[in-house]
Amino acid sequence: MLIACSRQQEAAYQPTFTEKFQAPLKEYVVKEYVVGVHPLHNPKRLLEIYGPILDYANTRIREAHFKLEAARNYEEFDKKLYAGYYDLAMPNPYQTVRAFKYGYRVFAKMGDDEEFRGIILVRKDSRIHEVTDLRGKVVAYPAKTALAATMMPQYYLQTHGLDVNSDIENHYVGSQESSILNVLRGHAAAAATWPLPWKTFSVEYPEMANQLEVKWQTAPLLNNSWVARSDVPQAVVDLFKTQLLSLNETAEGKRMLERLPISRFEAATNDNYLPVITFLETFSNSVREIEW
Amino acid sequence: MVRLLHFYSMLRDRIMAFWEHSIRRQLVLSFGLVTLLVMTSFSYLMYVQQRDFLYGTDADRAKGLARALASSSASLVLTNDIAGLQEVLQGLVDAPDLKFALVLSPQGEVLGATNPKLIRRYVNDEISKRLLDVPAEFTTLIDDDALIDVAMPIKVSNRHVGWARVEMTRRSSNANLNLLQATGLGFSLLAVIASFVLAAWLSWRLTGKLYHLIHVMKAVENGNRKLRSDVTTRDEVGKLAQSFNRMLDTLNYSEHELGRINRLYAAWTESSEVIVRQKNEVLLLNSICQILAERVPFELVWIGVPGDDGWVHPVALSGISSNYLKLIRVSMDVAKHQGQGPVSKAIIAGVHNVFNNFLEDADAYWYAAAVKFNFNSVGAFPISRGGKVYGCIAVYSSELNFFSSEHIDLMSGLADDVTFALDNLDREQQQRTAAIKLEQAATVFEYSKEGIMVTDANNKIVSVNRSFVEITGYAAEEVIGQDPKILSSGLQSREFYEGMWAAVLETGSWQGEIWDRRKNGEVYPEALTIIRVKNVDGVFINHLAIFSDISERKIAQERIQQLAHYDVLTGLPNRVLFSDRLEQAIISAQRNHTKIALLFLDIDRFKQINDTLGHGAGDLMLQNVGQRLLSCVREQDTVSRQGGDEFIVVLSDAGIAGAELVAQKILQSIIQPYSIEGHDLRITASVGIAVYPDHAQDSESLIRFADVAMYQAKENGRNCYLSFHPDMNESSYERLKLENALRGALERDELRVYYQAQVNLQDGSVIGCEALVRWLHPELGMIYPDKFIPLAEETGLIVSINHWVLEQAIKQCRAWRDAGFETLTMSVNLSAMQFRQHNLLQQVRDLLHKYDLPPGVLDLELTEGILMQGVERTLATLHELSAMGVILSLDDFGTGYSSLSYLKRFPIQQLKIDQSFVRDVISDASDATMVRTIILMAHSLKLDVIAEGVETQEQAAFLMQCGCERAQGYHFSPPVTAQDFEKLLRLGLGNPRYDLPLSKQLNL
Repeated sequence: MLIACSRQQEAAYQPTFTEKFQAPLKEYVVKEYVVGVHPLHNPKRLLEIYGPILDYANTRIREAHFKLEAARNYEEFDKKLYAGYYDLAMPNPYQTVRAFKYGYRVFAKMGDDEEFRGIILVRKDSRIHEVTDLRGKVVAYPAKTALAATMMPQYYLQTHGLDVNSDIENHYVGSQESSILNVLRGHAAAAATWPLPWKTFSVEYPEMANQLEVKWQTAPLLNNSWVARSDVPQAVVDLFKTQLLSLNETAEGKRMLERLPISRFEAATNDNYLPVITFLETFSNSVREIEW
Repeated sequence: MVRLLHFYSMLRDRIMAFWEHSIRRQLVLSFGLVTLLVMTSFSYLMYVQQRDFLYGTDADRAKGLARALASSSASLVLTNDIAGLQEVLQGLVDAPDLKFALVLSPQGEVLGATNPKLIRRYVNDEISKRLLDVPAEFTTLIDDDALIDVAMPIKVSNRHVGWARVEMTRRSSNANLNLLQATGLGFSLLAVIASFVLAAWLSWRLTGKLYHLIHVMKAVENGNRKLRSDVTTRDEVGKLAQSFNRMLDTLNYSEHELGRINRLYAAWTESSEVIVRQKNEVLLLNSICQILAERVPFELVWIGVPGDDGWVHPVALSGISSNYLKLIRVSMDVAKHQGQGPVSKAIIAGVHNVFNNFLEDADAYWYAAAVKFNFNSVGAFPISRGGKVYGCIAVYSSELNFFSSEHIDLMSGLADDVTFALDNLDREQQQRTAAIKLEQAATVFEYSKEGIMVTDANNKIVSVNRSFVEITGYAAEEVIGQDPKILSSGLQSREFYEGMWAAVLETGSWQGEIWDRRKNGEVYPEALTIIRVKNVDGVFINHLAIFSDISERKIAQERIQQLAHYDVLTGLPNRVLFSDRLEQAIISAQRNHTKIALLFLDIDRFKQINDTLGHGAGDLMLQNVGQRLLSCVREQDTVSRQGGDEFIVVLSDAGIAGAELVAQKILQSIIQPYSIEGHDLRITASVGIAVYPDHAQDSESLIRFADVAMYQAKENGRNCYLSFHPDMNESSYERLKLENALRGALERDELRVYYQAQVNLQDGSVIGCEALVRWLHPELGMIYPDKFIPLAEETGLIVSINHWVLEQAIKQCRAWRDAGFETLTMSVNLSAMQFRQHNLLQQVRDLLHKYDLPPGVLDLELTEGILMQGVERTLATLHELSAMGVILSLDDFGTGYSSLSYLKRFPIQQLKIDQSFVRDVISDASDATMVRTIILMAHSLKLDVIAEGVETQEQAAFLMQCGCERAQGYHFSPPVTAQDFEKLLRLGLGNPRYDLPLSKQLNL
């Protein structure tokens, strides 16, 4: 009897599926916009830092819903960005100027442009004193396409007595933390990154950070931008932009910004990023050819 | 329905019958059922346990899988990496029992699935949709015996980003369980069959012997008493068979024994009937022997009693072997061989003695005789009488071992009954003797000259004798059951009875004289002895009262009493007895909260009878009054003569109303005419009533208040009665009190003489004084003459008072003369009563002589009343006084008859104008004329005039203007003490003033 009963039940349940979402909940009635952020951090950390900002915007904007979607790496992010998958995105300046071609426009950017520069870390106990001391050594970068953390330091090294392409061994290790850890562990003699991840790392792992020092830093360029795909309604972009720009006006918003950490977001347009194009042209001509 | 019920009950009965009729079936079925039950339960429990364990493991596996999926897909979900997810899920496809695994967005969108076709589709069934509503926690969607479906939330930084859902079948577990189930059932079946076989074999072994036993029992039941079971095994059945055999043996023996006991018991019962019925001792004992011999039966039964000669003699005998006793004798001497038998031993030891094998000892004294009569068992059972062993019953049987313990008990009981019967016969004999004695005592009791009364412990009369009836007048049946109190006269106090009973309790008896009351109410004295009777155990049972009427003796005693306590003239209680009775009555009233009325009676103007008809007639009158008073009151009231014409009646238990009724009756009775020495006389009386406790609490006050009330009645016009009232204090009672006080006033030195100045109106000089008496009462203070002089006159005290005043005045006059006031005159008032005395003249003369004073200084003031009484003798006295040179003044002139003829006939030298005229002389013209006329008239008769009661200057001036020479009054000075008067003399002589009273000048 027991056996008969169980067979019957097993046959009884089969889950069913539909093509469309059938049970709409209140908060999903409005259109959802996918927001991509370039992989400043690993997906989990990205969600921790940018999740609250999107929640902040979502609670204040009724007309649309914004969903954060992380990318495993720059390659993945670039693929999605250039495929026009993201409705809104926060690319780095390099990606920003490239995205113009794929129908994105700048509507805001991170403040604190002076922070947008490259830094080169070495271990405090290393014997690297001059740029030329790096000759024949491994230098770690997050990714080939990282502007502040890779291209700008490479340009700096190139202009300070090294031939980047031949004098040193360039290792693209995938992320900012990876780059820092490479020099800390001794896999690389120096690591390129930019101030934001370095600050975060210093706060979170002070003992480890203490073993490193910022040896050189590049001149600043423009910070990361916020772009919107051209078919996203201007009204939606404006709503989102308003919330972003007002973050530094509330205590709650300030706390969120502190975690990025920047002081504010500010309004911007495509024109603001012309200097980046100039840098990229110079870089492409002097260091290595890049696609943009 | 009914048919169904019928069928059910029939089925039940069949089953019960099938069950109950065979132990074999019960055993086999019980074994089989219990084994089945145990094995099935065990299998089931095993199955359940295993199932829970396997299902639990499945659930854990599913949960583990879901958790692994959730954690491995977190980043992929975040990055929306469908391919990555698919990779992960494909790794799960081969997991055993997995039905499917899904990675769902929180909105139910399939992000990854073991079946790739489902990707990007949305869940739609109810079970799956639950995930859209539940909180982001581990959730079990299905957990039954076929499936386990669980969902683990995918969380990143505490953000819910999706679900990892795993559904697994329980196919493996269930296969495992099925195997277990089949094994369990197989084992159970095997165990049941084995237990059936074992039970069947055991029960066949066990009940086979039982069936044999049943067979034997049925045979025995059908009369075959000799048949016995031949089961010899050592198990319980074997033991049962042995017990069964023994039981059958015992049963056979008991039936025989029971028959003997029943016959013995029947013999005992028959003996009991004889014991109750037969009062003749010899016949009784023989009957018992006969019954035992016939009923049991015994060969020989006899009762032996030891005689003084030391041999036991038969007193009763029965049985076919009676001749045995001709062959043997029984001795009480244990040293003899005749004293070795059961009878001797039983009597000596006082306990039964039994030989169940009498012929055991061939050397025994009785052997030959016993053989001859074939006595195999002998029993001797002692009999007592009056607490001592009297003899014994001996019984002889031809049967060996005849006496079982039951036999001995029954025979001993029978012997005890014989003991009881003999004691009863003795007791009855004693009672007959006692009854004769009692009869004799009753005769003494009945015919005694003294009354005898017996009371029981409850103090109720239980019997009385003939004399009691004669003395008390009560028939026996009237008093039996009553309390002896009905004889009480009420004359003795409670204390008396308490003392009497205390003596009885203490010493056991009391003797004395007491007053009791006969049935006819007559009270009589008796000499009484009370004896407390106890029974042999010392328990009090009766009181015995023996008494004789001593009325005659009392009468003689009373005659003597009479003389001491009764008034000889009237025969009424005298003052002594009255006081005694009154005290008694008050005590009694106090106790009973009743009242007593006292009637104080005084015959009005009784003195007249004595004076006119002589004392003989007076005495007769008093006797008559006494008789009439007695006729007016009840027996319990007391009429006493207090002396003279005063009587007091004491009414017990009477208030004011009752007393007044009696008083009225008395007055009506008194007023009836008396025939005394040929005269028809009428008198009246006045009665005063006082009641205890309304008016007074003690006898003395009670008498006094009744006296006061009587006095008031006299005041009210006599021939009437009056109850005392506290207001009477102000009038008659006050007077009475005053009178009593006044009698002692002289002795106690409470009287004082005051002196009021008499003044010469011309020059204001003090020329003399009037001596006035005052009474300084220790409680009432200063009492003026107008209050007590009339009383003093009434009581005659005035004589001694006035004599005292006279002496004081003369003595004071002497003192003042010695002090240099030689012209001073002294006026002293005389009373009528003094004139009635014969020695007034001599007194005056003696006093003047004693204090060496010329008669001319003494001025005696007389009233008109004095002049009017006993005219001739008074006149003579006055003339002699006048001749002596004593000045005589007429006091209160103008208030009485003021006959001019007096003035002519009596040797008066001075008139004293009464103060009533002087008081209004200014305001009243007629009074002024009167005063003026008196003065003119006096002057024309050559009489001096003095005015008294002068209180103002105007009055003094008017009097002077009218020619009045002298005056006295408050205007000049109030009466003052001797010392003050002396001061007044010293000042007044040289410094006369008219405008100011001397007393004021002197500041007195």
